[in-house]
Amino acid sequence: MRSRSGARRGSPLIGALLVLASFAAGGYFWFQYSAASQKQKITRLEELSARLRSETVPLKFMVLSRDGGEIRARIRMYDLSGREIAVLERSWPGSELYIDILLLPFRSENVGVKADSWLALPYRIFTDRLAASSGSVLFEAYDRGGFPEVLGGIGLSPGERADIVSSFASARESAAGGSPATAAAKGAFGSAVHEVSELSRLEPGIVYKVVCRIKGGVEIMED
Amino acid sequence: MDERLNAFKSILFALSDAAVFLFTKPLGILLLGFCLLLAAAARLWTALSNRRLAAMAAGEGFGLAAAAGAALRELAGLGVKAAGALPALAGLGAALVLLVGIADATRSVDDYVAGRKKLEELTATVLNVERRYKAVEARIDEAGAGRIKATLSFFDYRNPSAAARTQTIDIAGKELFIDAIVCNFDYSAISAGKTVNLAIPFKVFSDEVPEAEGVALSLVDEKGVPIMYRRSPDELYGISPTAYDARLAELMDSMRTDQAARGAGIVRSLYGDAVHRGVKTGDDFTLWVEQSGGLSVKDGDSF
Repeated sequence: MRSRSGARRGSPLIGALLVLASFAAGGYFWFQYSAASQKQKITRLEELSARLRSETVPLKFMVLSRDGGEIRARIRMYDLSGREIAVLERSWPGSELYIDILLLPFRSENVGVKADSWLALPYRIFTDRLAASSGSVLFEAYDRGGFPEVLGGIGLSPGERADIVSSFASARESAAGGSPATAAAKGAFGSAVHEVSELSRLEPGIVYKVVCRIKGGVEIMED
Repeated sequence: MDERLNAFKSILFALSDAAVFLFTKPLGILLLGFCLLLAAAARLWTALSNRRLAAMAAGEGFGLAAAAGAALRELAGLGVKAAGALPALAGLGAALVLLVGIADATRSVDDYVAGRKKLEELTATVLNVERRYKAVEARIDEAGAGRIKATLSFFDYRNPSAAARTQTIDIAGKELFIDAIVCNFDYSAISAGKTVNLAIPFKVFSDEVPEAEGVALSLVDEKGVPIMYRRSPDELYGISPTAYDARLAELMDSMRTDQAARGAGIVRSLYGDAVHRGVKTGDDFTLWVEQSGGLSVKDGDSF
């Protein structure tokens, strides 16, 4: 009789302990899940932040001289691994150099890359005195059998490569036919970055790089 | 309160780290074993010395056999004492495990709280860097026969719903170039939301008309401040009109003095950017200032 009464007294205590243990275990697993989920979010945001700041440099240049109303410059083009693929040196009439980059919308097959991204192709060089249509078109300098070598140097899937070849062909055809290369694809545009005499003169002998951002922005920065 | 909590945590973590080191790391176990051996040796040495002194006082000899016997008795005594202390040692072990557990849990909670803060910062950073501001809206009223007639609306980044100024242009060509001075600030300032990259459109030209012969945009006032960034006094909050004007003038100065701006580490890049597109009648597109750097162009129907 005493033991039965003891069992009755023990049951609520065991029950309470079990409930407490269940809460503790639930809390532990919830915390572990939350911590793991938080780590995933942090990793994803860090990747996104790094991606937004990432840059490619298809072209570097150096102003060699400015004499008699002409500007002389050396242009070097690079693939995405940084290997030099073409060099060009010549003079153009004018005092401000314009480096035109063609930006074609592109959807990468890379996992996790959902946002808009752009193919950046060095398009042409002109100046403040030389109209863009009379500028030096750069496509031929890095055309390797129809593939723009400035986008080489990284692993591309056959589908991505085919898309790039097709876009590049359209741009070349448009430019060769006297139409703007921006007509090659819906949403395409050009970004002709240049010095502004009153603000930021490009110093002869200093190497500048043309930096292309993932969201289509193009910048000139000192190398 | 925080200081006290931090002091408590420091002690907790130090004890936990010491326990983990002594009982789980090979070097710690070696060190602990060495200390125990040293203590046992000291105890043995003391016991043997006492026994030898007692034997000498009694005029008895204390030979090797007697010493060995005394040492064995002392070791057996130590073993018995250790066995007697087993429950206390088990309790101490349990207390240490609990201590390490509490310390680990505290660390996990601290990491989680720090993670939340980092998550908030990263979210703000990504939002700030991913953001873009409308600078110009272009509507092509007429394009054909080698001419472009367009209406350009210029926007202040703080008020994207109403154009600060509208200008119509008529120029020869097939491709419209909108030239702007672009000022990209350092990423740290952008990601912290302290500033935004700026674009000041100043000229329109085309594929046929070189920049030098293009159409100038009158978007700068007599003080050299772009009209998009001017504010009337009742539009300003948290800053006096004088201070705002001074800040703006300072900014424009820093943009003009490229070397000074770069030297101060506030401007990442300063250059001109003529964004362009081939156009046809009815086209409309928007020029955006990307906070990740540079300008981009989107179709009017993209959003």
